Amino acid sequence: MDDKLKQAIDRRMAGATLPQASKTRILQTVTGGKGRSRMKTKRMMILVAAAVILLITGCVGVAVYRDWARQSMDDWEQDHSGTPLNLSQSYDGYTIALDEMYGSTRTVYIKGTVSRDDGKPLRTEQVTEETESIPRTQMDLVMDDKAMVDVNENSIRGGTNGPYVLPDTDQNDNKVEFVYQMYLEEWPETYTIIFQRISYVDTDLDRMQLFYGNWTFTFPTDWEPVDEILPIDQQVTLPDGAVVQLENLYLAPLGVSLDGQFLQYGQNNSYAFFAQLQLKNGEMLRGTDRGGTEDFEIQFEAFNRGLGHIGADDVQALIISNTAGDEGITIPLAG
Amino acid sequence: MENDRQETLTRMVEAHGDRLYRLCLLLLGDPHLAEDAVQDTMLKAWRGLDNYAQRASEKTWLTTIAVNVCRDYRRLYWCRKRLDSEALLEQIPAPPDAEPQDDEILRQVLSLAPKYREPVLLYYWKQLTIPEIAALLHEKENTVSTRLRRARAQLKETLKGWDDDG
Repeated sequence: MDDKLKQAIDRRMAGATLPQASKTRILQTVTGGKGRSRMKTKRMMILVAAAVILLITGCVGVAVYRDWARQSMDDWEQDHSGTPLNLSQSYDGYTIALDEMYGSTRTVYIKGTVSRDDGKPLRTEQVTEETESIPRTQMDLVMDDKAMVDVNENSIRGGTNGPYVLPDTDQNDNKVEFVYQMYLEEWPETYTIIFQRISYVDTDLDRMQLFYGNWTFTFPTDWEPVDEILPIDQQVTLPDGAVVQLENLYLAPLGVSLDGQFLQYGQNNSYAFFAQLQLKNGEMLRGTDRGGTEDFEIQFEAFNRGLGHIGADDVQALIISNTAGDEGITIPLAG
Repeated sequence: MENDRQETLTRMVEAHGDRLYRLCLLLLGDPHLAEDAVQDTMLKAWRGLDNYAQRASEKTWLTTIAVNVCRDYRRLYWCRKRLDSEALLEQIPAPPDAEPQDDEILRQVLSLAPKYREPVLLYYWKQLTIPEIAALLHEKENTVSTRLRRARAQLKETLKGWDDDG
């Protein structure tokens, strides 16, 4: 099998080459960051980094994502209090705690901490990428996706994002914070999360720390949704002939989503569908289909790409197309 | 010194760019994301260039970075959507020497869940050893072996007849 598989993939993938434009962009981007002047405020830096990445890549980059997450969480906490969870599990000298849950209608955000049980400072690598404004805390938290399978067996669609560690503001304490996002079409009364692995480079020891364990949490999903729901209720026929029913836009403090259904397939029975949300200030948020079935749920760029809270008064239009390169059909949203 | 670094980067992009792109493409299933992943791989390599101790070959070093970049992408992006192997195959030009079964083999490899696809690609395609894959993926060797065994069983089932003499 070894050689046959290798030969088949080698032959078939020989036609896939990194475009020359991409090579040029890599060389310019990677070496061009040196000596770039820094903006004075964190907010400006986040927006510029976002703009640079969007201009260069045309999509959301991971590099600034954690900045947006921290900023969005801070903004959220100023205006809203989460639902306390106060759950913790210790295993092999490390405690994972789920502190609070912040819920919109469809998406819940779990904020938690990882801490050392011995109370010593949890110092991880802090890496600042060329495109980042503040250091990224290097820690990997791995979760068991079986938690989702248990739900999906009941035919409930969903998806997850993260967990990822927020920038560590105090290197001398024994903990770091993380945030984890989950979306489900319908939520069961309780939900289970299983953490399986913590890994990071301990900068005091200059050594990789790798802990396999089982930190399991089951908690009730009874948060009070705080998002605005903007009804769309429109049918749109896409250029490939697909007919899409757009239902509602969900505008939550940490993100925006859109749901709906395919009423008729397009050419090749495809589910091809691309949505963008145009804001009144001219900004555009790209959406991604989380579904893959007739029903769909589109999440627009995570944490609103650092643009802050987007409410019903901030949105201008939805732009729907078959692919990202198409001109698209504009559906006005502003009243 | 800076010129040396830039020359090294240019050489790495030329020597490994296509290879890394193909790997990222098969791990992420999206050409645009794959291009971004190669860029992030080179960015991380550029940052780590001075500390690169050559304990591993440059090829393995870059592969390690790329696989972990792709893992980050899968975790951090809103991209848990199903990988559309048909759309991906349509976007990759088939070379003249491609054989009829190649598409089906690739289709079945792409249909594997990421945790199985990763070791299959690294073991059978990149021909890394199980200890190398375990280190690269931060997994136990037993875990990698088990995943390879299950993936192989799935591939043998879906590609019945293809591997009769294998």
